[in-house]
Amino acid sequence: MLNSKLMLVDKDGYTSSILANSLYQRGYKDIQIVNDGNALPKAVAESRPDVTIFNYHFNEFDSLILCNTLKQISPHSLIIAIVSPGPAFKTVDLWAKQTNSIDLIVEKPLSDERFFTKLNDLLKLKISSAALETKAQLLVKLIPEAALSALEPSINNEAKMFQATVLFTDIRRSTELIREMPPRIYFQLLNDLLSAQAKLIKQYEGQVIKYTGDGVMAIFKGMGSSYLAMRCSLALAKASHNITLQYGVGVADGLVLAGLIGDSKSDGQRLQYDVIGATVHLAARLCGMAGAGEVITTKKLIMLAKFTENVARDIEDLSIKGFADKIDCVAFRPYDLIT
Amino acid sequence: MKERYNAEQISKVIDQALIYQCACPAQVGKAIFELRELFDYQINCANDSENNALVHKTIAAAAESSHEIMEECLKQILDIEGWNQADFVMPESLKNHKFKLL
Repeated sequence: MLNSKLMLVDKDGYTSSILANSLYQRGYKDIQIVNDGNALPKAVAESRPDVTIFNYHFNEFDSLILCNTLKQISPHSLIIAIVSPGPAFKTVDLWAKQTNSIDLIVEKPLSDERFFTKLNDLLKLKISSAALETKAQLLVKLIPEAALSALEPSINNEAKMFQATVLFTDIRRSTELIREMPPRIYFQLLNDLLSAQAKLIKQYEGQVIKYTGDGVMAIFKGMGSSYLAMRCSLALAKASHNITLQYGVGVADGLVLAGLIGDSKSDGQRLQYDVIGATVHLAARLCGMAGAGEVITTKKLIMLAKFTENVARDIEDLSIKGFADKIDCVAFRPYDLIT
Repeated sequence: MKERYNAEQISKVIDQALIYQCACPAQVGKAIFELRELFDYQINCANDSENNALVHKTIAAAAESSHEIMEECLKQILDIEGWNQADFVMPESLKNHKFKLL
């Protein structure tokens, strides 16, 4: 807390040095004083203080407008206004309520109990909220976009059934590769690959549901989702050409069930968002059959998506483990099409 | 209520005295503002016929007397400390003395 960056804004050199001195004596070492309001936006943009302390002087409305400007330049910086009681306090209080640009107002004259305790509390709050924000940002990366709604207490967390196109990717010869390569190199290559795949999936409006170890599972929902999923699968397969970790792609569409699965009976146990159903199994099986740089999908999906790319091979009457009926499938090899 | 000092003059005194330990005129200024608020509140309350007007009148009268005393007190301490009561700027000698106290 004591290493927080403080900025004092005060047109009066005497009062600013009195306050800076008091803060310094209490252990705050990183204090910048700004006496000229015109220099303030630049100073804040450059040093991004944790807290800006305004010594408000009677009828100094310009400094209230500056508070708004500062909030826009550095929204995470806290603003404290020190104000004389009486009419000045009422003016600043009203401004703070109307604009939300001041986080705390403290009445003059300042005392140890009020000002320095409030400053410490505010800094503690800022530190803990910054830590929470960092965790929240990490959480957004760790869980699928669709699962974020489960964090909203007002939203019903029952599993939802809907129509979707499911896409899987999986690295070919991954066991051999991981045995041949230094594990850290493989890990780095895998991370780069999955990042690139996720980026492509997002470009085609898909959602990554999970990383499956050597690949990714994604879904595409809504109007035109099967077409977008096919375009995405071809882009993915094309990107698989001539790289170390080559992969196949499987795509299927149908009903899926999405929701939280895991231990929901006891507190503190882990749940995870997932999408399940026969469509998911089918897409995974088709992915398993696809060669490196190849996409396998069902004829039904191609017709539904009105997808007219040249088919590399027809796979009629395919028997798929777990499915009673044989399924007509097709394979695409996008790299072959452009060479 | 008669006011010897306006809000700007009192605020100027308070604005120049940040820290509690060396801000005695500011404490008096603060008390004056509080007495003005107390007086205004009682006047507004007394205008409401459902409330007991005599209670509010009594409080308002006490606030007015106290306000007069505190304004006189402010005048005297500003004189003692050597403040220029035309511009209400803290005298340099006092600034230096208070800075040394920190």
